[in-house]
Amino acid sequence: MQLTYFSSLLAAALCLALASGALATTYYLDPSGGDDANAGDSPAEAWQSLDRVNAFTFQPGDRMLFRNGGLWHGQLWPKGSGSEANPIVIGSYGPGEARPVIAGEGRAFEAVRLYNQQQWEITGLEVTNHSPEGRAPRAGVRVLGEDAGVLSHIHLRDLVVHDVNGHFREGRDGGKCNAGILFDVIGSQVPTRFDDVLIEGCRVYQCDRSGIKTWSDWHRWHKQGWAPYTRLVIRGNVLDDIGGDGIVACIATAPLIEHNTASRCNARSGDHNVAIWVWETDDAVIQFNEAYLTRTTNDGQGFDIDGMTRRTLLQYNYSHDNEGGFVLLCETGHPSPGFFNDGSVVRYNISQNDRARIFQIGGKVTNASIYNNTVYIGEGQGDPVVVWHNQDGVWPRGVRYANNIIYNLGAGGYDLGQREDVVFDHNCFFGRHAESEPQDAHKLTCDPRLVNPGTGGLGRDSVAGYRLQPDSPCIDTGVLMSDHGGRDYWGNPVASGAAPDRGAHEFRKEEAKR
Amino acid sequence: MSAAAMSLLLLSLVLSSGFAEEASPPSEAYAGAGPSPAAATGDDALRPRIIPVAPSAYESVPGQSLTMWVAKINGEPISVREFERRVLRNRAAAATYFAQKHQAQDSAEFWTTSFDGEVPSQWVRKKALEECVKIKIEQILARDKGLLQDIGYAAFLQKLDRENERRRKALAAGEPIYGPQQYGEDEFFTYVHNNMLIELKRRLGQHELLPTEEELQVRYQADKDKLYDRGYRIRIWEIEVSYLQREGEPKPLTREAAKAKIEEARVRLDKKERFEEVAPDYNEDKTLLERTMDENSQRTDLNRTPEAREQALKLEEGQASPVFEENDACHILFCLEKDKLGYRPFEEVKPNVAANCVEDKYQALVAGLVAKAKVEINRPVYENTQVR
Repeated sequence: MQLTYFSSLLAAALCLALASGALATTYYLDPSGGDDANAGDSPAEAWQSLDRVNAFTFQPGDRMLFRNGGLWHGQLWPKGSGSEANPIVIGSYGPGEARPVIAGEGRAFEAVRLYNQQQWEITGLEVTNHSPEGRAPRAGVRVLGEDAGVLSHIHLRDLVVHDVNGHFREGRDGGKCNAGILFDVIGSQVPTRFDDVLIEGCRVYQCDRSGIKTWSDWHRWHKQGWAPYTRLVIRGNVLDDIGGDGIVACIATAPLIEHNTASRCNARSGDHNVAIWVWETDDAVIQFNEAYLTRTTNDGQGFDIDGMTRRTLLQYNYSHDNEGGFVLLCETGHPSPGFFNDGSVVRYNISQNDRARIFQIGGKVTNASIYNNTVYIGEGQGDPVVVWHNQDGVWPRGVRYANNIIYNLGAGGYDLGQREDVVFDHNCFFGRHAESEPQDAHKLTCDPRLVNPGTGGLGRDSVAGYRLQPDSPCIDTGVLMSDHGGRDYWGNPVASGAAPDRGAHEFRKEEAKR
Repeated sequence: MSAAAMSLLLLSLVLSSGFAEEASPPSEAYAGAGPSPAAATGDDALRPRIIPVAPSAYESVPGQSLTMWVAKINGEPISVREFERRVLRNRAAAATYFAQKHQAQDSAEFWTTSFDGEVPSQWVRKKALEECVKIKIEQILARDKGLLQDIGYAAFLQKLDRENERRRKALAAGEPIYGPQQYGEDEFFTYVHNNMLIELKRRLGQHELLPTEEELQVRYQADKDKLYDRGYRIRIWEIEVSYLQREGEPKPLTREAAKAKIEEARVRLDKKERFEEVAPDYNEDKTLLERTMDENSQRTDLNRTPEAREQALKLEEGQASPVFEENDACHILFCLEKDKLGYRPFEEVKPNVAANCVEDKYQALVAGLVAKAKVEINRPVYENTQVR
């Protein structure tokens, strides 16, 4: 009897210890000095192989550390899930600046995998998945869910993912799920979604087709209903030389995409791709990003608010030198109410020397608001069309352009097609005035007196040339927008009860004194 | 303390900044306030290594990795540090190459073992040097054009320092920053170099590499099938029998029932009944669904209804497609009109043609300069650079 009592007590204590992570262990992996017969729980007793790690089920609070400089071949797929208080952590240890490398070599779809697991944090690894046998559906890192309900807390931080030669067309979502970092949900029995996803501080380059992507079979039209990702944050990542799309957040409510830099996207796929965009999202926020050198005019924009989206906010971004233009808003013109792009807001962004078409609005886009952006088109930039509305079944309906500065030294004009409630108000058009320049009851056509336009280069500091000079006619001559966010591109306050300035800068007298 | 050592110290200070732990709402500036889990546990191994600090073999004397040179390209030195960053960038490629070709696994001797005469450390250094040569040639070009004054790596690191310091101060002051909280050495190099190339190509493209009209025409003709073909405008009628359950709508047909229903339509069409008479009997709203696929709809066609697009492209005027399924519905298409739209005219796409021309000429220019470059290797230093 007493024994049973103590056994129960022991079991309870054990459970408590497990739950609190008190029994958590740190494991070590060393490809040259380790041995799979070791205990694994100290650098001297390190394991050696991915097979050993993959055969192990980790407990909440456990940590799996890879030795810096180590090289592993094949797939990393550790098992188990952490707990809310005690996630499982993958990291690195030891001297040297060479990261632990997981070289997938195309042996599996992904080099690093989690499947129906949650409460994981992965950091510090270098991941490749390049097959010498050529392109195929593949990813660098894939976090996959299937008929599992809510899978929570997957944080990927400080990863370097590169050389993933995924196929451009074959695979899920027409090949777009072949990505450096992919979150994906399959299955049809239990609505499944990820919650609390963080992709932060990662470097992704030479990946095909996409850079960072989220996807799910539980889309808006799923028989059993939509299961959007929640608390999805993609922040502070640097992407370069991506075959197709850079960052694409799909099937999510209120995703936050901020402080990323995406360059040379759509470098190879030959298809329609954009540097940073959303699809099938409500209330997405895309801000403080920089997108440049996106290739081709198959889209080819820096940013895109795509189909089945509501209330997307695209603000405080810097877009330059993208072949396809600055921003695309679009939706197919299919008559079903299931297709929509409603309430998109594009404000306080700077576009410099983007090409082809600066603003492209196509198809069933409704109630869009595009205000306080500063656009600079230099000479010899291919004379982009400033605003291009295209029919895709239907024409855009309800688009308001207000308080923008269009500084156009090119010969491009405006192609608005069939205008349905398209309004231009309080914009400043400077430079060459095409015949197609739209009517605007409060148009300014004099020099906006920007400090030094066309001089943007590296990062935010470099676009100081787009501030207004103290004698700018744009100061206090804009129209007040409701819910304007309260700040300009540089963080200056924008008053809620007075006429704002035109363009991305809200002039402050204190600034002039500095 | 030398400037270079100071620079390294500053870099190491950057290490201590953590990333935000939790997914957070839209931030005022940059939501990077929370400590990382690693910081909370005090375990250095888990700290995000935003900027790794080089423990190069050449750092026993501070700053040496910046002053010692591995090679000179047309007389311009490549420092140890610059070279070792390129080596690091190619380590994973070396691992893949030797595993594939020689079934080599990592070991204490991996980098110095000869696999049929190929040694990983030599392989990776050669790759790194090739990249360094090309970069240096581009930097020399940029300097000649007045875009860069100092093409040394120390100058680059100082620029990185300044940029990160600026970002740190902006964050502290609650001012916004664009892009990441802090740039790492490698991605900042890519960033600076990419942006330098934009300007370099722009300038060269206006003068030395300005394409002639003839070159533009040649390039246009060569590319027009691939890049400037507008494809077709196809007007189609459609029969669509859906088995999709839409939110808030009554239960639809099962897939089997939908297939059976559209099969009836197909049989009627096979009996030469007119499409416009058959279709309304099967479409949900009892009308003849009409749709146009053209260059305007191409991207949504590709994204949303790629199968319908494929089917439509196969049809000639007056033909009906077989039954196919897409987006939880069965479909038959009928081609009403099909017009080839031809190519986008030269004048319209001239800027793209010119950009592609300049890019080609630029790459040829650089390849020529690389081939002719005088590469002087400092063997003792080169052979001792870190690969692990």
